[in-house]
Amino acid sequence: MTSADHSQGLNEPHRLHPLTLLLGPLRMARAWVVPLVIAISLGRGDGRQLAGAGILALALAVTVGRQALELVRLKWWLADDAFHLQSGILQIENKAVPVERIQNVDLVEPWLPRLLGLVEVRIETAGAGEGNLVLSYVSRADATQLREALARASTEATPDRATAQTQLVKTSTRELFIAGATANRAGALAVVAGAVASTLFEAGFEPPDFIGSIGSIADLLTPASWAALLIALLVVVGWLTSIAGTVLRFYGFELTQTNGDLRRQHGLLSRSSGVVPLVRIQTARIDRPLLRRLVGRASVVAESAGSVAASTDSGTGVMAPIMTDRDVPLLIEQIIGMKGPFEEHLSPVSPKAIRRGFIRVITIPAILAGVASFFFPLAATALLVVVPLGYWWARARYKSIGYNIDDLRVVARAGVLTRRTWLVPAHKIQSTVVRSSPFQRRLGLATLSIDTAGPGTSRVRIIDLDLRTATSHATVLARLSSETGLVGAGV
Amino acid sequence: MTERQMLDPRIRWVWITGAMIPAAVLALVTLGLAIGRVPLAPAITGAVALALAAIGAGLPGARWKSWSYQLTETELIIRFGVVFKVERWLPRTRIQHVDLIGGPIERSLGLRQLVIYTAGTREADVTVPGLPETVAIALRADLLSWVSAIDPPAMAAGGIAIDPSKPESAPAPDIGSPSDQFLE
Repeated sequence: MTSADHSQGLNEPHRLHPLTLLLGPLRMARAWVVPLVIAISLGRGDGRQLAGAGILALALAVTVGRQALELVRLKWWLADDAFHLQSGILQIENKAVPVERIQNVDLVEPWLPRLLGLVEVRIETAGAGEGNLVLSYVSRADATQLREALARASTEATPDRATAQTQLVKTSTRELFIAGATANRAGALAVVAGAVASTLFEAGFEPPDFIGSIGSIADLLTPASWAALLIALLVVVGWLTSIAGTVLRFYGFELTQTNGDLRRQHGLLSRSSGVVPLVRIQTARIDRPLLRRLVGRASVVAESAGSVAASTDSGTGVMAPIMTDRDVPLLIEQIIGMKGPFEEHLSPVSPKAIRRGFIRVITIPAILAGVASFFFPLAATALLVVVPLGYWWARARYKSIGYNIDDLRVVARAGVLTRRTWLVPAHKIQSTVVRSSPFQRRLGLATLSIDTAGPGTSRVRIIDLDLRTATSHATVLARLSSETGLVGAGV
Repeated sequence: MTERQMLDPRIRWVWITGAMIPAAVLALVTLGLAIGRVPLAPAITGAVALALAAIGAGLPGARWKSWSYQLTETELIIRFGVVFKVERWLPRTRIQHVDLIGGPIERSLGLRQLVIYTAGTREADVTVPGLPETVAIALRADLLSWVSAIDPPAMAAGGIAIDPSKPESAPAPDIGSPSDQFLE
């Protein structure tokens, strides 16, 4: 069975949807608005102002025209078990990607194209350099048909494809509220908000009058309490933004398994749906930001081979935006075939890690306090706070690091605030590395890193292992990988 | 080949030459500044040039000592690093392809680098510098020899694919004669 059998009509060259001609330049024009406005407002003399705006407008016109021409020239089709893409204005480039090389196909629908019934198709290939092939935009019917054809072609060995479809994850909106509320982003925003508020007050910012007139309580507020109020307000705004962002992005999140593929869709305004073949998944990661840990929930992320987009905001790789701790092991088993429990009986790294962590965190504050105490003798007292805090942090860091390595898998956990647990099947390991800095060597420590064919946005590593332990694990894992692995099979 | 192998000691000259180029450029700048009687600047650039030259002359010895590689039955192990020490294990079956590279200085000394690629992304390629050309070619053949030991039916089934009945040193892929590697 070939892809051509499933894709009647797709083997004819297709162009992008005609409405793209409208959307593409619109998107570009949006990027040009700011420079145009700046050029117009900065130009002093009438003539120069006009000339500046004229040049910009000309540049814009040329770019838009060129883009329009590119859009018109672009053609795509499916033939001979390969996806073909022809592009270029003067120099025509023909790309052909064998369907079995296609890692996954994502459909993305930003809100405006979505209203017009258009879809962006992102085709990820295994090559690291070339990256993705993007068709923006095609009609929804074409996009779905293309994705189905590609998915079928890459898993054509499965005969009973219509039968098995299991829902792995379905996230309710209520859970998404919890996800947004417990993301560390809110904490980060709080810090930024605090900084902004304090600068405002240092700059002599006066609260607006109308607030003062609301009631006499406002008159009683000192500038310090105004600052606190403003910070609290900004934190709340940041928090609400985080919640809204999460809900918008993951609204209606659904992960289903159809034979060898994972299908995922989510998004309220911009709808996104993707297919990832299970065999392409290299590692899974359980993320637990501090707040989420407290409410007994986690998110699950998977890295698949060649998926450059896993690092981007598009959410590629998120297998569950939030789920209860209880449900995590089952999902992990379904996506990478590793049986839980994962986080029990993890081995600690060398206790010397506390010493190294402490020295690392304390050095710069100690130097700063030392220098400052020349000018303000009281500055040295800051160390009374910094030293215990540093020790606490070093201990927390040591406690957060844990690992478990056996013949089948690597489990590695780390992170004080956001606790991350990586899960790597042994047969997905590409190479192992042991690194040691001079400070680590002094204490007989080293870091073990594990490289897979995943995008490596979050490196799997175990920091501050005893050097000998690290070396023996690296050797054993490499040997296991050598025995189980065949180039390409694990990718 | 299971013992640790050192690089060819002549690689130190490649590294020294490489390090001396910026030092020499900076020395020329110093000269220019001195002739132009710019105050203070020649002293600074001169000192930097001297420091660069001293490091460039001193470091390659330690770097060479830190470098070794070892080919076992299942993997290639390389070790290097003076300040940060690195030890890498590359399973033979994970090797995707191998490049043989030679810069002008290396070529004049009869040395080559072997660049080994895995499907990994973060640390996908590993370079072993300072190999005599014949050693580099032999190592490449050895690294790729597992390919010819693959059992095609097992490969199709996606299972473990090394056929133990075939010797480890199976006929190497055609690598051409040493001389036609660098004709381009």
